[in-house]
Amino acid sequence: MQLDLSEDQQSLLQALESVIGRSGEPPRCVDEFFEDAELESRLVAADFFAMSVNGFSTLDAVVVALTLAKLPACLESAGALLVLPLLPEGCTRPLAIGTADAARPIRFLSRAHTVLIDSPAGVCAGALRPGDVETCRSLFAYPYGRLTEAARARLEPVRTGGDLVRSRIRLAIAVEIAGALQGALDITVRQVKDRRQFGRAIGSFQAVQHRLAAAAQVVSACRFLVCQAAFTDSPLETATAAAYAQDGARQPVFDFHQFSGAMGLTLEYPLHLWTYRIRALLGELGGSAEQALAVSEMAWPRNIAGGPAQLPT
Amino acid sequence: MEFGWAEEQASFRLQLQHFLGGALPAEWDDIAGEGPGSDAQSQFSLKFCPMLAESGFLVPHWPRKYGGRDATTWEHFIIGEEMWLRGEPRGPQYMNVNWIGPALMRFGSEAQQIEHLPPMARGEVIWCQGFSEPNAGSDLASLRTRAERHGDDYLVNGSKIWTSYASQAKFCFLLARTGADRKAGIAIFLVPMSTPGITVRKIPALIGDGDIHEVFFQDVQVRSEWRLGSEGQGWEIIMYALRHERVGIPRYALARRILDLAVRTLRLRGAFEAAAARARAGLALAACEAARLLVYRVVDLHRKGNSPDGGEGPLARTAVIAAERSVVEFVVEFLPEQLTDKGQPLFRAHHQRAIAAGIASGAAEIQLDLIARTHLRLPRESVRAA
Repeated sequence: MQLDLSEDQQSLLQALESVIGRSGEPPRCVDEFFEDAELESRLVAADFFAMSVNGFSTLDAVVVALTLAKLPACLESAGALLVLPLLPEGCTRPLAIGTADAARPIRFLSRAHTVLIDSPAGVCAGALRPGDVETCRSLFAYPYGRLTEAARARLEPVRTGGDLVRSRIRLAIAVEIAGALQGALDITVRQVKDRRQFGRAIGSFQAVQHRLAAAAQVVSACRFLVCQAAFTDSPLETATAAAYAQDGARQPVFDFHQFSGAMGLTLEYPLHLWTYRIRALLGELGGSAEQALAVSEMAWPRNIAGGPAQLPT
Repeated sequence: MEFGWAEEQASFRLQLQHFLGGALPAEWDDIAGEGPGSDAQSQFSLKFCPMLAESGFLVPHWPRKYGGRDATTWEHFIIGEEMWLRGEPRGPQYMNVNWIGPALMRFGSEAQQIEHLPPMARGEVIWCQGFSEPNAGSDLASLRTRAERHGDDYLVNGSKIWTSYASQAKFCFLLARTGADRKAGIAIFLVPMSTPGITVRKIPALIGDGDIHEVFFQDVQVRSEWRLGSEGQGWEIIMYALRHERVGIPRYALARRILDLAVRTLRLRGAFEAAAARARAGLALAACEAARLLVYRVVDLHRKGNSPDGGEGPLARTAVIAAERSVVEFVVEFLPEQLTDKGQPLFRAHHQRAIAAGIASGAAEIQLDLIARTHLRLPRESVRAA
């Protein structure tokens, strides 16, 4: 049990930070989502999206994905790092991940090269062609699209176990939440230190401090849960991380906006670039209740015949 | 980063589990249901801890010269996990093992170490901690119990409250004021509870019979050789002791066991089919896992000799409190009959322990204050003029 990053992982992070550099600063007034094409190009050129090919572990990929999710830019990275390596060769990022619900828009689809659909019948994927996607605008800070019926019908089943793919999808969602929560917490802490009312920083009021402290605990726990899940690649642990992240993120997202006041309601202030991504992620895969049900099924399985499990004597 | 156990750690845990499987009597769950500070559990600890000591599982992490074998931080922690998972059969003696003994090793005179450490290492002595007072709980530094110089010795007057195990304890780790300065005026005394002038009153409580007490000190003559460290050193010693206690109790271990038992119990009567119950159980499990990892983070820092001064201890405590709460609420909502005398005693045993999680060993709100100051580096709230 050793819970610090290894030296190699620290070096990996340093290399990543040097690629990120001073980029990641959003323009002043972002209405929908913030894409940083230059950063994306630099990450591609530095092979950060080829980590599995180059022998990096799932945990290494999570360490990178957490840092990228902390940025205000919406960058298709967690899916690319954690799910794409399980798909057939030739599937390229950006990857969009959807469900069988055809009415539901899919994050990143309007920008994606590959789409994956996770349904009760199994996991299918395929390359996108022109005309496959109807772009949607949403208030969430991601690009969205709807997949046409024709495109859905063309998708091929993924031979890699559906359980592993599903597990990695959960992990990707939990990682994105964990990273975005950290980014939102950081900017909110800076805000409450600077903003003064009643003769002092609003961050000096205990009510504010306690709620941000509680948020910090959730952020810290999310980080370790996703790292554990990446280390073991256990479906139970990825579901646990996703359930915790989706459930735990609700209160902090509310609090971050409360403590940013009316400024946090403007487009000029960038808080929504994190919080509106988190809001989108709260609903992915059916939300925290669905992940919690998955945890329950795996932690306390029913017997194969479907009845209550026999209790150990 | 690695999330598994080394072979020797896994092997140690198995040996301990094997020992506990044989050493704990069948009626242990009933004894645990009496409450952590009950006469029954305290008396049990005086039979059980010597067996633990004999088998090398009581103080292996202590230095060899004090009866241990310099076992690793993780082995010490594994013992704590396996004990708490079973409702803490070491009873009040877990304090000796975890922080009173280590405080004596660090700050005690040779005579104090000779007198007190061997009985602790043999599992033969119960201590209580004389910390909180009616007007000094979270604000411990405002304590008023006075130790005034009386010739070569001291005369102690005052009272303590919420003192666990006081009616069973042979000694009190007593905080008293020797000077006016809030922190520099505190000293610590190792006081035999049989000393004339000490009166103990049990406080009936939700957390089990005999767990908390008032302790009154009226002209109690305390020898100067009972003082631990110097007069101004009390706060330093308290901080050292609290650092150990703040992270030490792996409450999530029993919480998780109770959750598993709750699910099994619901399954037996076909009551675990509803999605609401299953989802709530899943979230409670996630909370227990979050707590476990954050506690491990602190233990890992200690193991490496790094001081967890970035708020890691309070982050872990806060997660533990949330985990306890989620399991308690699950049992209360889905298995209320288990909290009656017709239920399995382990559920009551857990409930008694869990409801104190946010209060004992430092209130939850203080943990949040500490996270704000040390982890988020938020400015202190200024004290408003009256």
